Order: sequence, then structure tokens, then C-alpha cells
Amino acid sequence: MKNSLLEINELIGVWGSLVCNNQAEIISSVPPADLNMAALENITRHCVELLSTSSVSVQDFNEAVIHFQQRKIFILDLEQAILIVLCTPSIDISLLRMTINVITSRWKTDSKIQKLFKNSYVERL
Amino acid sequence: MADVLRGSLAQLSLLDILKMLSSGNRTGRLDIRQGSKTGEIYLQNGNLIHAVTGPQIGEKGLFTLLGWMEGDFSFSPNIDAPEQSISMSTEQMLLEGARQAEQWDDIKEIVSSTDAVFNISPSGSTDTVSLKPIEWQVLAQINGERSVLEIAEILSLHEFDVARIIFSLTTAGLLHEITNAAFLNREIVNDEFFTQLTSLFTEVMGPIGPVIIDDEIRLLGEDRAAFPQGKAAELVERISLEIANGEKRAQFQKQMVAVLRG
Repeated sequence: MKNSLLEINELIGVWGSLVCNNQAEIISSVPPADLNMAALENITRHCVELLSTSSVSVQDFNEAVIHFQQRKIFILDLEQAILIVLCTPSIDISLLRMTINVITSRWKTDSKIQKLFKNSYVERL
Repeated sequence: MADVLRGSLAQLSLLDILKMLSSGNRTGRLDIRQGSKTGEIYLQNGNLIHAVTGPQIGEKGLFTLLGWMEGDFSFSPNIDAPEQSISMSTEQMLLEGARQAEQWDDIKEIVSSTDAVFNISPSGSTDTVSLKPIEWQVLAQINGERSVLEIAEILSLHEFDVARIIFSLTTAGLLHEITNAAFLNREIVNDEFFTQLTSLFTEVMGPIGPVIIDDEIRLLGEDRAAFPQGKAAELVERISLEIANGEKRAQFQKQMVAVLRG
């Protein structure tokens, strides 16, 4: 999975990326060099909260682009995991979205990754 | 659910669309997209109920959207508003919108588009000029490179307000437009891009492929002969959404991402 995140990070305007579970626990990450772990976890928590609260009130809500401290954050709900991409304002969102679609389509047929997502997912009571 | 109305703001202004939907007592959601920015306006039985774009909601959101001179729209019928954020009457809102549109017409005489770039006039004004704080903030961002839209984003202001201020500063002799700077400086996609795009898309969609590409170019308000590099990925993404099969869509996107990334 790290290789896929590195592939995303190669895109101009991508600052770092990570995959976490629905409890904001990071499964895999290639974070920006100048961002400490505490800040990364904080951003992850906020993104997961945003996604979970929005998906309750808005049907089929599975993607968001938010502006955060002069950065753009792309959040994608992968059903059993969440992909978060930290970007600079110059990011070409269409190019990012297509790159991510190519990668996540690959993940869907990768049994190892699917198992990892399934094991990381925390069922809500 | 099929869109009943879809098009470009360059052809039909948002105010005209809203007047039409309102007079038709329509209920639904109007989606507006300008580059990476999006907005939504909800109507219920022809009344404006809710508007949102970025952090702006209600009347403020609606007036921001009314200021968008370029972009695409689509209306999806029978969708209820998630909330009511507009308290002004629809008639008042449309009147205010019309007043703003009239002002835009005057402004456009000097500020041709939100991509226009201005610089400080070397000769300056012949009279004493006093500036309000907001005018000073806009003036401080003018550097011969930033567009009206970029300045609005930096200052978190409505682009209409920035254009209005630039209009008055230019009229006062403090600024001048750098002729079509954004247009002249923008990078155009090469022929190879369209050759690849047409070939790969036709492979998936058949002979309708080139027609869809031309439609999307038109909806983006662009021309194939001078298509900007900055919108190439957006065009590819939009046409790829016409591919119903997810696997085929991902394959097409993979090939086109490779083309776009050179």
C-alpha cells in the first residue's frame, strides 16, 4: 500500500497521503516531511469526523475536498477505510481524483489490501 | 434521476436560470461548477430556499454564485433542500441579483473577466485619492500577475466585490489592465493530447466518443484549437464519467493520466 501512496505523492501538488480506518487509526502513511505525527493524527481525526457526520446527513456522501490552513485536503471514503491526501492549493483536483480512482480500483481486486481494510475496520455498535 | 437543465453560464446567466426556475415553480437543486469551485442552490415550488458555496451559505452564498461569470450548471428536479438558509423573499433576491448583474455589466467594461490581471499605473491619479481599508487591501495584492479571482481567494472576498474595487481604482487612474494576460500566458495542450484522448475514448465509447468530447469542450467554455493545459485533466475526468463500466473507466483514466503526466 505504501507504494500506492508514494504513487499518489508523485503528483505535483500532493504533500502527503495516508489511509486510516473509521476510528482515525492510521493504517499506512507517507506523510509530509515537515508535519509531525501529532499534527497528522489530529488532521486525520478531523477528516474522519467530517466524513462520518456528513455521511449521516447526506446520502451517498463519500468524498470531500476541504481547505485547511492554506492547504487542500482530499478525503475519500473507501467503505472500510478512508484515504486522506494532503495537498498544496495548486493541486489539480481532477488529475488527483483520476489517479486515486486508478489506484483504488486496483486495491479493490487486491485481496491482501481488502483483508487489511477488513481487519482494521471497527464495527459500530 | 435525469438533469432537466444543463449548460454553461457563458451562454445563460445564473440570474436568468433562477428566474426561469422560479417562474416555473420548480423544486430541486441547481449545481454550479466553476473550475474546482462548486455551489448549490435549492428551490422549493419556485422559491429560493438554500444556497451554499464553500463556507458561504444563504444570501451571501447566493450572491457569490450570482457573481460567477463562467462555469457550468445542471438542475436536478425534486430534491429537497437540506436546510433553509435564505430568509429574504425570492422576489427581493432576484431584484438584488438583477441590480448586481447591472453593476457587473458596467464593471465588465473595465474588468473583462475574473481572469483579468491588473498592475499599478505608473502615472497614478491626477487627483488626491482616499482609500477605504478594503480598497487598500485589494490594491496591496495587485502585482501584474494575480488575477481578480486569485485576489478574491487570497483576501477571502467575493469576486464581485474585488472586481468592483478594481473597477473604481482603475477609473481613478491608479490601475491599468495587463491586456488579456491570463489568456495570453496560458499554456495550450498539444495536438498529441487530443489525438490520444479521441483515440482512447472512441475505443471505449465507439463513434459517439468525439461528439461527447466536443460537447464537454463547449460546456467548459473552451475551444479545441486553444484548449488550456490547466483544464485538460478536468476535461478528461468529465468525459470519463460517461463510461458507465467502472473497470473500463479506471483503465481509460489510467491511460489518460499517463498522457497528462507526460
